[in-house]
Amino acid sequence: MSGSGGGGSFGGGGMSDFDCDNVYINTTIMSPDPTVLATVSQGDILVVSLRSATGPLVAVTDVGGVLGTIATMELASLIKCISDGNAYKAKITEIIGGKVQILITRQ
Amino acid sequence: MGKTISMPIGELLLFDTDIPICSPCKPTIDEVAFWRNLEPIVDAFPNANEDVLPGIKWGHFTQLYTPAFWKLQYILSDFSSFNISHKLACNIIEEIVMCILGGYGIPSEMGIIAFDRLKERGLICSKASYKDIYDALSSPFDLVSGKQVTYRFFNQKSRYIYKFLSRNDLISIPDSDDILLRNWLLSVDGIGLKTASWVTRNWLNSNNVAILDIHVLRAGKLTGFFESEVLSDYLRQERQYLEFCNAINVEASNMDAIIWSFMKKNTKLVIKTLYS
Repeated sequence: MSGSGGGGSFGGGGMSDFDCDNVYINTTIMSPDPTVLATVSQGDILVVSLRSATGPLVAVTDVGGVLGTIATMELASLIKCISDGNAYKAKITEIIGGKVQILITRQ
Repeated sequence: MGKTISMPIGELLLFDTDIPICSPCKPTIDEVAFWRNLEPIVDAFPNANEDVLPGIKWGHFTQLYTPAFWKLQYILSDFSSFNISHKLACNIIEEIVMCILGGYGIPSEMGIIAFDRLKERGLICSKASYKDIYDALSSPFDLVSGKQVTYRFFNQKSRYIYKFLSRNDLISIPDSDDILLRNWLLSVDGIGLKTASWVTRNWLNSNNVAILDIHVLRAGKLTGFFESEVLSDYLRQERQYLEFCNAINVEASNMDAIIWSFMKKNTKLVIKTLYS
């Protein structure tokens, strides 16, 4: 009973209601690498890769370029899913002024 | 890019990879606007390689358990916007009983159920008999799910609660000063530093104490402000926790609750990370 519970929560409110199989997360890449950004286009599919057991999640091109870190409120849940053997991809849905939006889904 | 099919209820937009997304239906989770609004805040965070404390880097908020991650959790919590109380009960006596019933080895939900039964039976008072308290705690509880559970440690907790309620100084509990209150609580059988800190934090929103339970200990180890997740020296580790909160400019009383909530909800992942 320690703690009264926080209010909002980033990083994953917990696994109990997160379905690893049914993931549709529309989100953004933080500080995309300009060099890698120049090689991708809207519609490209990237691999969601876990850098360490605690993150971050990054989006990687098919030639291994790291576009940038993925910002998501479901960080902990996705990390758990990936560590349990699930794989995810990120489709670039929009590139505007150096900002990249992606749709994360299961491989 | 994809193709659009007109349908009576709207348009079904198919991507090349055949992921059906209804338009105007939205994807399951849409965070784009959220991060756009948050950008000025996270852009102002210290550089990830900067020290927050000697030997501990700020890290990036996109990595679990970094100081930057906890700072963002704090900012996003209701605590940063509203003056939220941590009180669990209506008066200090009930708060103490509630916290005696909780603690090590007792799931939070179980402690609350046990408290509710004592209160419903009018047993949180000086006139309550030991037998009545014992009977209340030792009888099985019927959960909403239909499952029946027994409150663990009913022997020990009955004795502690009876002894506490039998004290003749309950009208002079120093409940306006956090350190005086905690020191007084340590004179109660069954209350150690953790429970005393818990009551003090709850009742006075104290930022001078820490509730070092397993969740905060694990977080401390993962973040780096504790050498180990094992409790070895409560007051020293409490100072380390308070120092960490001060360094990332958050109120310790609220940060404790935020850490506790996140770590409890993600226990399986935490254990995998710590012990694999």
